[in-house]
Amino acid sequence: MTSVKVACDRLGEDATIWGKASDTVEAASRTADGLTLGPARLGYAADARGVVDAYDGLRQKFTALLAGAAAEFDKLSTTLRDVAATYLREDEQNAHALKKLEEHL
Amino acid sequence: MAVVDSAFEDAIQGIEDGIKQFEQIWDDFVNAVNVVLPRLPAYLQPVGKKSFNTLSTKKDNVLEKLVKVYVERGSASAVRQVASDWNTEVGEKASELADTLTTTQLPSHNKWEGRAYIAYKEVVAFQSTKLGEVKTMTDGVHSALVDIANAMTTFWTGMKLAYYTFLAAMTGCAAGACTVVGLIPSIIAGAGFCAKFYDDLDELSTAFRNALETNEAKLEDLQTLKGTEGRWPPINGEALSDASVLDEDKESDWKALP
Repeated sequence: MTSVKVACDRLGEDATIWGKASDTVEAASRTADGLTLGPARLGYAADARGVVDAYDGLRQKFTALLAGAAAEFDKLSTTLRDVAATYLREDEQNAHALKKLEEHL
Repeated sequence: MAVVDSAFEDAIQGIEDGIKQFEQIWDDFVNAVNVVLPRLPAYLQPVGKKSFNTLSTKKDNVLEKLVKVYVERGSASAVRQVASDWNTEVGEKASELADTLTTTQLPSHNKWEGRAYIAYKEVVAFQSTKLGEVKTMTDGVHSALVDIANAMTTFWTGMKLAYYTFLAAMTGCAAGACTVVGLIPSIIAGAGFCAKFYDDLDELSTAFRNALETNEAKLEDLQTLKGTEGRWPPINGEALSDASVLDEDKESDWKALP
């Protein structure tokens, strides 16, 4: 196996890891979304003091933050996969070797 | 495993039992008044009647307040469960990712160089730091919720203690009201115990309100989520995407190491 093939495979493995990280963070986002605490659980004294609203606002922002992380990790995973595929395809066409040769001439 | 706040649940059960017990104590009190009041000297009967009306009003007021807070009590166990879930289901997951998503642990380590790979290493370091910050944020949520649950438990254990002290005092008053000489002093004492319990309830409520307000402010502060306001910083994918030598710039930002 060529060193380029190994490097591209490794980058593909990175892509898989980021894809799994995206799934993990997406699951954490869904969990955060479900961690609701209304007046029935926090109590009406807490509701009257704004605790329910403050917590709910925080929970919603946290959910969005994690969903955003999941989306970014997924994009990163796709980018890395595309990079590895492009690089390998062009290597198979000897494009990178020719480029190097060009640089040395 | 479900989180149970035993102290809170015991206090709530105690209050529920105590409310039922009080019905019997009050029935005894009323029976004693009905039996003994007519035996008082005529000039004392209006005093006894008026005192008992005052006691009855105070009793209604304090029980109404107790029942209202009891019905609207919430659940310290549920709050602790949610606090725990923030920690284990969100914070720890992010923390584990932060620990593993480092440049040297990723398979691409030592396989690449070039502008894009340098940018990628910076992305990895930044994302790992941000994931680590998620754990700090969930620690903050966990801490505020545990403080709230603690305040609920403190309130209700204090309430149970105050209520059982009140019940014991009223039991004594109901017994004292069974005698001609004891009736009026017992009614007056009962009114005093109702007022005392009302004050205790107020005092506990004030401390509880203060704790809730402190934690409401904490939750408000946490809403900035370390300045992100709920938006994950975007990754500059453009800096990573050029792997082609056949495109316009004829330059790949990624270079596989030999």
